Amino acid sequence: MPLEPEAVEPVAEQKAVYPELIERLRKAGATEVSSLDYSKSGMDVDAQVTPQSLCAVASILKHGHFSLETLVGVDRQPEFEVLYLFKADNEGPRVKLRAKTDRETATLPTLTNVYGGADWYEREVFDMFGVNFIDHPHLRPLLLPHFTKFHPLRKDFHGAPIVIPEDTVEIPELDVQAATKLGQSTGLRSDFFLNMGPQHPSTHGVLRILLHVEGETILGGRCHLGYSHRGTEKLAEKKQYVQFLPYTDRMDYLSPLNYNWGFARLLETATGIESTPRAEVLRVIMCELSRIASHLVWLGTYLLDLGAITPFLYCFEDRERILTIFERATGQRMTTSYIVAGGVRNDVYSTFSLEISELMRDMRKRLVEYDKLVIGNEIFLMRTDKVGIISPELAIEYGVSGPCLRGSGVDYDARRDEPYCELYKELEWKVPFETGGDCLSRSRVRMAELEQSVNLVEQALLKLEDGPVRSKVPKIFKVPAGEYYSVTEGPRGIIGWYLIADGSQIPYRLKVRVPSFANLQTVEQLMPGTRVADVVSILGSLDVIIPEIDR
Amino acid sequence: MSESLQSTSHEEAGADTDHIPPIVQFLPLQKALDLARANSLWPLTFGIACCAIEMMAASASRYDADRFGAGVFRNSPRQADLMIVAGTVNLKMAPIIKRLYDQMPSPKWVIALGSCAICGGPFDQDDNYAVLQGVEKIVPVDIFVPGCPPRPEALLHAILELQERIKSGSTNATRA
Ligand code: SF4
Repeated sequence: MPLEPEAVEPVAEQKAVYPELIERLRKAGATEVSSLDYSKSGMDVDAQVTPQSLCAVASILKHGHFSLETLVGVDRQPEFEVLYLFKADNEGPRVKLRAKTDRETATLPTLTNVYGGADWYEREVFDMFGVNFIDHPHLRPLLLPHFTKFHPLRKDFHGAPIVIPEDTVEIPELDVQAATKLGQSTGLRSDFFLNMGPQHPSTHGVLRILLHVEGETILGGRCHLGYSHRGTEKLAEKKQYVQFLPYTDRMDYLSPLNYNWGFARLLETATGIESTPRAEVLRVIMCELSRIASHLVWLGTYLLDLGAITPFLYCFEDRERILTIFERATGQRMTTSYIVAGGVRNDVYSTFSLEISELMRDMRKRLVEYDKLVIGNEIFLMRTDKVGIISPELAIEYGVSGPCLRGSGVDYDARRDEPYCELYKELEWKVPFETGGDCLSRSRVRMAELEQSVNLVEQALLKLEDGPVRSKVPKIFKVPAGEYYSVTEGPRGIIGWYLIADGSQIPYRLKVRVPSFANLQTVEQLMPGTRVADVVSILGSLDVIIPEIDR
Repeated sequence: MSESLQSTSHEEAGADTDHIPPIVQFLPLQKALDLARANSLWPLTFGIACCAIEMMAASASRYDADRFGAGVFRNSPRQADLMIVAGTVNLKMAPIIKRLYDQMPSPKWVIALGSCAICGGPFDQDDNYAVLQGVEKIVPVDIFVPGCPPRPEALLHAILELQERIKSGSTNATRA
């Protein structure tokens, strides 16, 4: 069924909220600029751009220090539309640019000249919709295998398994050009390529990096994704909203609760259902526990990569204690599906608070130990200090978020800066940030976050009062037609859900903006000039989850 | 020749098909080797998705797979004799799994951990275009562990079960 592109009616009478910005966007060539109601749609400004004016409008945003959050491709039938979502720092607005192209030509200009971070996003849209981005430096399939001949997210694609050709050997695609360019500046030249992954212990999943090396020095590198692509976004277009919830667990399995919350918040934004006070407190407790568990896995595996085995055993023991609580409260250790629209699925058990406060007490002692054991360790310092520096400019251009962003000295945390849970405002905590931008800073931020999360959990436990844990939700769950966006902060950064609803029980298009995707994209910029062993250190400090990136 | 010492060929599953059983057999020696192999399984470090974390948990402090001799995770397939497929296998990954399996020295065994590795799990629905319907299509599997994800205990149970089978000589592994 064709869907009207302007499903969200621009609020006509309402005064323009960001008049200056809107005026400048208009001047640069944007048409139909309007302001939206943030509480209803999750976006502040909406602008239509033509292919010719796209880059000019984006440059305005670039000068305003907006970061590119994600690209959303949509098959509007018959034409395609690409949405560019931008976010300003802390208090600023969220801007959405819309560019259209018809089905036959399906071409748009590339944004990579303005925003380097558009690179992978454009390749993803190219994969999924077959939209060509003119002058893109490297337009090749990102998630799908190179032998696929279809574009799965087009509405006229109804699913056919990829047939693997008999002699499939992934041909290493060598980025000779970029590497030779770098080689010229360093005076080094080489034709030696090193393949890392997809089965490699330090890539934390199935990531493949092709390194161009001269001795131990890296001249360039390319990431290959998609070894864990599971077609989740296409599945979402066939599942009812409630049925899709379990899939949110399985994207980032180290922090499923944070994904549950993001999805629940999306549905709450869209339908206006509100959750209950007790449920809000439970959400905060569970999500902070989940953050602790996730950071513990990071700490253990990162040190394992750097050659220390003992911390892994300690971290996993602590994590097991948290998982035991999850299991008793939700029924599952990892794939919880606990936070649902309107509250949480069920109430917790009687000794819940007691167990957690005991755990938090022990946790505090452990954190001191971890700090001594790890952060002060000389070998750890040598492997991480001044390695893989992400400058604040690079971080903003690539849309980096979470501890990686805060490690680069940008003080942004969606828990504090996006009004998605009142409780975070009431509790006493602070957002840790460091200015180094290197692996060490990122590690320090995470260690400090562990402590802050313990703080948050302890305070939230005191606010846990009796009451219902779920408000009334209609049996047949429908979302009114429109476009909605919701943002929450996961352990790795901003989790954004973009939903285009057509009023039925099934999403028309559901796009999830995952933090690891943007964070990992910087790695191609960080690698040149470093040593092979540093790649392990950099990757570990970014803390990426591959199935989350591949979806 | 005892039936149990015959190699089970898995043509449809893609295992070595031209394998010829040894002409002279040493039964007691074979038994001793089986016993040794069963108690020193070296799994390949190879996690694909969510189930891999439970695999890590099984080898970490609380569950400690080392108790059964199966905790020495090897990073190279050439040093491993047990492949635990932990996660969703998609069609881009499938040829690589096949190659990793081929690189492992015989005898070798495979555990399919989780419903994704068994049949595609929650993703094998509505004509999903990306996901392989079970790893058995590309490598011969000895033990299937259901769950999404299976608990670490389930993996430990699978390892114990596999040990029993190795000792009684009734696995899919080709003997060389
Ligand atoms: S079986 Fe479930 S937990 Fe395991 S990889 Fe598949 S989706 Fe993840």
